[in-house]
Amino acid sequence: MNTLLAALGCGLLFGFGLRRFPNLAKRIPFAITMGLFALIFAMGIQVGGSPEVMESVVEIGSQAALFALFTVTGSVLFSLPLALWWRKRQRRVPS
Amino acid sequence: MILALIGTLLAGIFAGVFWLPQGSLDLVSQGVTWTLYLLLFLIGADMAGSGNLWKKFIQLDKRLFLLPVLSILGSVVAGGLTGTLLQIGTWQGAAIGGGMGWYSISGVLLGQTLGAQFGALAFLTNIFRELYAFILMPLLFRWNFGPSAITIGGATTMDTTLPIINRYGGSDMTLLAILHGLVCSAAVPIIVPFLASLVP
Repeated sequence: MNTLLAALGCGLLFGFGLRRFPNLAKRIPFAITMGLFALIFAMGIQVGGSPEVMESVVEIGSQAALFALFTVTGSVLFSLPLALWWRKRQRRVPS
Repeated sequence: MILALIGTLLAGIFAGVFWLPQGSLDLVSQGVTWTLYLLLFLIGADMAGSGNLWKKFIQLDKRLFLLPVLSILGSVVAGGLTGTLLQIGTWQGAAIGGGMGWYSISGVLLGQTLGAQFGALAFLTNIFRELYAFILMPLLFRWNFGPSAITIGGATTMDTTLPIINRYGGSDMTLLAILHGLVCSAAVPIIVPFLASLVP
């Protein structure tokens, strides 16, 4: 966790310095998108290439998929009043 | 874009099953870790360029700080209900739900307390949660349910799912996601053993 926060912190410092180079700063969102695709592809390989994960998918995959779906739905439903309030507020105070 | 993300994920899984040479999984894991560090670095740089962060953080409505609490509660309650539904036990299910997408730690913790079978189920459930996050988060952001979109990622909103949040939710949601991820990550090692201890 510390390394992750350190990477984010170094990026912040770098970004403050980058304010003087707006042309370079403009390219960061594109780099993030490309990095995102690389990360998702690599994570897919990690899941598909792990024999333990693939064996458990065969054995208890349907149970786990259902558990994940329900827990995600639970989190979304419990946070929904907050999200609806936030939506209303966004409409009143456009950012 | 969303379809491209799903396609990339499926292509990765396919490549992992059929193409990955034996013994190179560690290399892929290292690749994931370094890509993640690079992405977090870039997200930091992007956030710094988007204005005064401290001011933005202060301006975040304090009610939004409730988000991690609601997110954890929803996940635990839904986990308990699923456990009852699948007849594996309410508290066992709640403990699995308390993993909040952090598959490594929840798998180990439940493996130690409830046995290997529950450890494996918690591990796989939380892997699925992370995969769902990649697919569902962009949709909820598109429908303007920003805070709810963040909750899908659970504890991963300060690492693997943060790039998605930054891409679709912007800098305000990125700040909230870091807070959400930090609270969930701190809570998982406490909640999971506690819920497991309630198993009769």
